[in-house]
Amino acid sequence: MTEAGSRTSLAPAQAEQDDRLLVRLAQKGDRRAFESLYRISVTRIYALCLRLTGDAAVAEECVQEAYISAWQNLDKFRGDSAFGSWMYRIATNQVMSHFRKQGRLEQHVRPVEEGEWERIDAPPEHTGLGMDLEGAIATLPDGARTVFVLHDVEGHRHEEIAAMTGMAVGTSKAQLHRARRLLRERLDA
Amino acid sequence: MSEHIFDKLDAWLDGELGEAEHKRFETHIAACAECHATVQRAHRMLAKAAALPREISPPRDLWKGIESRLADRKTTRRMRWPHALAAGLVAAIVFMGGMGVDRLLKQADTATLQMAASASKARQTLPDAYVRLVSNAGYSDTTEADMLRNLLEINLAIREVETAIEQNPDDPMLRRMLASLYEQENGILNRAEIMNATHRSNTTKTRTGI
Repeated sequence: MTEAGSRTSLAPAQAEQDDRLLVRLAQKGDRRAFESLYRISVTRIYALCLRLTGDAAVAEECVQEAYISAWQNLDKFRGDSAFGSWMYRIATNQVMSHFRKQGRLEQHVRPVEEGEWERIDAPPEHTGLGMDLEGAIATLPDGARTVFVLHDVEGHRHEEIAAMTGMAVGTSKAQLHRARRLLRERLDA
Repeated sequence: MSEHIFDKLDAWLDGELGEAEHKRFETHIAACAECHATVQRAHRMLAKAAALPREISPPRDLWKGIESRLADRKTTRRMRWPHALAAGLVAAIVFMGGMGVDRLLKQADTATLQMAASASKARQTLPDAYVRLVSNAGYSDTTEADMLRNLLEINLAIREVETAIEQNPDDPMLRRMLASLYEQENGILNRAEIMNATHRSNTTKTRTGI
């Protein structure tokens, strides 16, 4: 059965071919096929969850929950997109769901009022000189970090981010502006 | 940097300023060293963000935690791998015997290889159709799973041999192996096509009561 290590050199059509075969086997209950799908995609999914949450332990939890959810919903995978893209959406939903469960949804989607950003955007104590970009992203507030990661790291448009996260397009733009401002301040400190 | 320009920086970076504002912004940064430096830093930050690695390995293997919580799927008919592999090997041998592989093994000239490769690759251009061909053939769950695993193993082997041929393009043994693998793949898919046609015909007869 194919493993993750050989994927980087694969032509897209070949990788998609393997995915389709593995998904079909997993849909029939083959856990080894699902494990192969996990190993093929987990580095991409973990990177996404890690950056969205800014916390390795939470990212691990989200990754695990995302794959369990994928297994439970495999019958709904119709092959309109690649398995990795389908997993990506499930993982993003998982992180958003985590934010909601933690009561962080309010801050995540509510437009921030004038003057409020100065209070909630105060950098955490452990930030400071010499911070690299990854470290600085991790210190951003959830909403700002989510939009920055999805827009400036992952390359999604605001409309796509709105559909993925449930926030309004205007909120997404405002959060991006806020994230970049905070990052510039923290990286220049 | 003046507050007015600062507020427009992100819109400018994302190409969202109107023509007049865009021009005003660029005129300003061309004349103001401080603003120019800020814009340069912003560009660098965004370039770094876009270049961050898209793949990061988790610090530990998360699979065990996932596997222990996977419920059995309703359609599950679990197969033991030795059985599946044995079935696959038998199927491969049957196909090899029936598809003129002997001839290929003896010849494996460039034209034959190209013909087998193009027949095989043509099907791979539509990955979903390729899998559906097997899934809709009316095979039992066990047989379908065997066929899918076979195709997966053959795909993997084809890629390995193709890579080896890139290093040793004139190696006759590698070329014969590749021809054989293409034939095996085509054999499985041809057989699935026949099964599909039979299955469709039977289904139609059942529906029409013929």
